[in-house]
Amino acid sequence: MSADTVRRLLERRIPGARFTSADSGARRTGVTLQAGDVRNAVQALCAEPGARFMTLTAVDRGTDIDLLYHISLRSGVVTLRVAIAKETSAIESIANLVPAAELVEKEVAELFGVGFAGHPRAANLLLPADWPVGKRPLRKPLTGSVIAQARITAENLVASGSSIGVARSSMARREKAGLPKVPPMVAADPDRLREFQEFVKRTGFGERAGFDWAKGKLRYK
Amino acid sequence: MRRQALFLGCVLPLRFPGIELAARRVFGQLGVPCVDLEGYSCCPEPVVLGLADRELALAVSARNLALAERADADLTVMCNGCYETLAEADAALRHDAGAHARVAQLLDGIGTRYEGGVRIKHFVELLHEDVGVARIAEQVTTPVDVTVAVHYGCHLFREVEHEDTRRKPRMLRALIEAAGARVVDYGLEDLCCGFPISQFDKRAAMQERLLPKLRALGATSAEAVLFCCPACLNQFESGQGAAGDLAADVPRYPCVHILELLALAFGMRPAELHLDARFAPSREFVDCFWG
Repeated sequence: MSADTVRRLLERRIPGARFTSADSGARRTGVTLQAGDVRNAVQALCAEPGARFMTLTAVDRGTDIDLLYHISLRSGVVTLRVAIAKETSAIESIANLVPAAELVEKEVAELFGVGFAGHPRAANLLLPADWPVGKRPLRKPLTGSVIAQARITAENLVASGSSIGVARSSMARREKAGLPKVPPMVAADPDRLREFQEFVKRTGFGERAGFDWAKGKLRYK
Repeated sequence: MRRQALFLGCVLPLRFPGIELAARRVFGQLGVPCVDLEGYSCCPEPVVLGLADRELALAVSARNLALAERADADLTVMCNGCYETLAEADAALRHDAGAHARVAQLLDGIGTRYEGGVRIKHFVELLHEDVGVARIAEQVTTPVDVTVAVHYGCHLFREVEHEDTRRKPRMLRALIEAAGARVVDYGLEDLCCGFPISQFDKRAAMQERLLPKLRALGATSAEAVLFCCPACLNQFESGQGAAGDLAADVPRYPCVHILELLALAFGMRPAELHLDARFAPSREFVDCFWG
């Protein structure tokens, strides 16, 4: 089943769903979607003749955890891919839709610290009952691609267009020297600064590096 | 001469406004047709950020180059690191079709483009090649009678179209001599100031870079250290305090930018350099020689 076919099927069954990408190989089709659409997507695909939920896998990418729902369909495999932010690490369980997901969701919950809302089983499956809640064997610390030494520089660049920021002391120094408070940089003009920030956003830096645009900071220290 | 958009960078205008004043005075007196590069951003910084995210770095550099092209100007770069970043980005965009296509799409999103029509020069090159040492010497009214040791800065050796890595350092020496100063060698001219290492290990930056330089300078008749890169100047000037904490016997030197030296030689009043905003002993530099 081609990526377009899967996509059309999902779009028909889930009006308003947002798919960020779809790709396909000889017998594999991948669709990236939002966390809120996963239950409906699984339900739609599993309703197809001969469809079977195979398993769920998880990948810790540093800032996010990718959850990959693999469904066997018409002699191929469709993988629904969703990224969940580590800060929340939560998604709705599909166990009541697909009973086969119950154990593997529990495994991902225990090893990666992902919360599956509505999951029917409370007790640990793999880990001892007294295993510390905050300690997850396969979960890495929340970190991204920007090395520690570059983080302040990167945040300054996005905030002001300057790698060292435009501090009040710098403005005072310039004013004393008879120069405009801010050099002719993007920071001198709010409209230009907004345009610059939009430009940086379009480079995909936020997704690659784990940048929180609402807070204007990297998601990790 | 085609008009020149001044790429001031971040450190020079925000930490050393006096050097910006000196640059404007020197370029103005030499008749260099300068315009400000309105709306520019960090180049971006090549040592840490440039390596942390190449896609972002190239796009941000290309935006700066596009601003110069839109202003119908060539780019005169005031910082060694910015020069390397922008010259390398320009070369990457000319030689890497894939990178060019990705960047073109991003620039198109903000209604601009870069066609590769901007000549990028370090200001030392501009002064030496486009203005000329003889014309500079003609403007000198107050030869600066000092002996300086030169810190060239690693990125000054970067050549994109030439092979001779000593080309710009030779030019810098000629400019110093045109201002009336003498250059003394100390053997560690090519050693890094320590700024990149300081991002990872400040103590190593002092011990492995700045202290050996200061010790070598102590065996010479140098009265000041001369720079053409504001980032190196900043590292050297502010780092001398910390270096002194590690080794009490090392001498400390005034740190002077070549454009400050030229501005003084052209008759700029010392007070106009605003050295009072600088660390000691740089802020006493002028007093040493002009009272």
